[in-house]
Amino acid sequence: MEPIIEVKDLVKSFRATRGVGKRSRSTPTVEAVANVSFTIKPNEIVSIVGESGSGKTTLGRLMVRLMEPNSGSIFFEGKDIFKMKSKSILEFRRNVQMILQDPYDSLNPLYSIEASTKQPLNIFMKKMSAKEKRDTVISYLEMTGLRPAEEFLGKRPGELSGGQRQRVSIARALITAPKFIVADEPVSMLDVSLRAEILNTMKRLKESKGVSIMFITHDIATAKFMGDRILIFYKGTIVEHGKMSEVMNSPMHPYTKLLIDSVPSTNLEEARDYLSFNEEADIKQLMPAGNEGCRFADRCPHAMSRCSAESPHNVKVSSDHEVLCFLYG
Amino acid sequence: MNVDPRNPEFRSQFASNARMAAHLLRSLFKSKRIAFGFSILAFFSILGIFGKFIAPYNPLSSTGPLWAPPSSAHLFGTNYLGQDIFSWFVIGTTTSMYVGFAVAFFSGLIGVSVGLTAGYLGKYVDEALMRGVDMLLIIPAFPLLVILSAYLPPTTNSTILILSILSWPFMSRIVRSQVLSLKESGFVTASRISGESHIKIMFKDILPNMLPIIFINIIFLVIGAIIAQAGLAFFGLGNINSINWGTMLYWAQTEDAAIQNAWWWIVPPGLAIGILGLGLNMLANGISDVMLSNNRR
Repeated sequence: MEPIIEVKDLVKSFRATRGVGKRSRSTPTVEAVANVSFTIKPNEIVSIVGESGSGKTTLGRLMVRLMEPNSGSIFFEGKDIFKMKSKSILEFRRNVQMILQDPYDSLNPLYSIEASTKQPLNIFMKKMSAKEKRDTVISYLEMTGLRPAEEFLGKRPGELSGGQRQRVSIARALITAPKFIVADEPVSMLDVSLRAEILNTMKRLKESKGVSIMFITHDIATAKFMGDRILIFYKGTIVEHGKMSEVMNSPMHPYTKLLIDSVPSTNLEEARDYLSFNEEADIKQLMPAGNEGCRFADRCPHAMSRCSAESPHNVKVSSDHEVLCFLYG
Repeated sequence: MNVDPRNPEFRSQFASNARMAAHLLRSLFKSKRIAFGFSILAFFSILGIFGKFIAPYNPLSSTGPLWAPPSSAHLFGTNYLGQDIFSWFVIGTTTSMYVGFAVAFFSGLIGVSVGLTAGYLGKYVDEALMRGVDMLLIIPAFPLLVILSAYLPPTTNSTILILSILSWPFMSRIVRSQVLSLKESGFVTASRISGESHIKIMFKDILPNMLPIIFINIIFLVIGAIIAQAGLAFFGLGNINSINWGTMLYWAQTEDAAIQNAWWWIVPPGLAIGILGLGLNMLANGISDVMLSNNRR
């Protein structure tokens, strides 16, 4: 099947600031996204897992064209989104939406739920009558589990709980029937008890609407629950990717193994194993640009001398599973 | 928007807005500071608006004995020409308030526009505008006021012009800093992803969320302008023939009211400036307590 999204050699680097906002030519740049390529197929959920600072949020913002990359391109249905002119950008905006992380910040506190949810319709469905718009808003709010939707229409975000607000954000993201949605840690700010419900809602909507979702998370358990495929992100690079079941059942990269092992366990033996894993790991910030070597080398229990000298290449494990590590060739 | 009251959409939106406004007003007036400050503002506003009808005499004609102390005929006494000081005071309120609000309006308008543009567009626009603002901020304002007033025709409107030009930079700084933080908020990001135009993001997402702060600073601009205008007038700058609190003090000084022990000529304008300043200050602080502390969540 034709991929809906194709990311090719994407690079985004930031210049680090030193002191109080002082910048000079000598300040180092860090690569938040370093030469990343992958594809997403229609009606597929791809989970992107990485720790904080791994650049996964930057990747998400690039995907929806909130920022420009330094190099590389993203193709949406074959068209490079960074070369689009204003008219096709609008079409792109209609088809690609994003669910933001913080539900307490992603709705304008001054507008009613109806007004916030309706905003995309006012932009893209100008011909719709007020009544139709209202009905559409109601149906989407109900779809995300806000029932009865009529009761929510006139409320302000301040009168809603975090979970309810995140449902409004999801309804708002879906209302123009997009083909692709970036969900940037949509449940990380919510109570644990609410998460499963929201995730189930998103999964159900993916089935019924046939959208593709790029699900960004730091929690591998959530990623497993949501995704058809998984990309493991570490310091701006994809260290392992493949079909969810394959990667989870036979993780290859040491970092993937670490992530899977670090899911808190009630088993004390396992917990001890995890805690003793590479205790002295020095968690460094993002890698300076242009450095050779594997980015995980300084934390890796299997590090060899070549790991810090040369950059590893993708090794194909099976038809839909690749890993970026010298251990496998 | 369809404003036909029978339209259900309008009705719900209207009801929701009305509910929010009512809630806001109620919480505002629960604050004693706001109630007190607002009463003072209301008192002087009424005096200012209806001054012409309240004043018992023509302030420019001699209607009583010279240097008469306050009495039932002349509430605030009379001056060296036998003019009624109460009439001067009431009619002067109109001009002083007019100058205060006009300056606040114009400098607020310039300050908000510059701050919004600089903060939203950023980069070179921001740099250019803010360096200009810095220049205006470091110039010692009062000497410049004095020089400018000496060159412009001595009318009330040129006083308004001068004060407006010199009062907006601070406002633009405050607005800019607000824009910088609101620009990064989730709901602005959400609007951008929805393909909303920059103009709409500026005026529908960012500006309305700054209104409390803008309003508070407008109030401070009013106080500042009234005091600055009185200061200029006291030194004989601006239109000394206009009747306002500043020119009252100017004439009292020129005609040696202090030597004549005519405290009734000096105290009313001085006290009025003080009390109005206090009231507006309480109003602004009260609003900031209520609207900025119970936050946006």
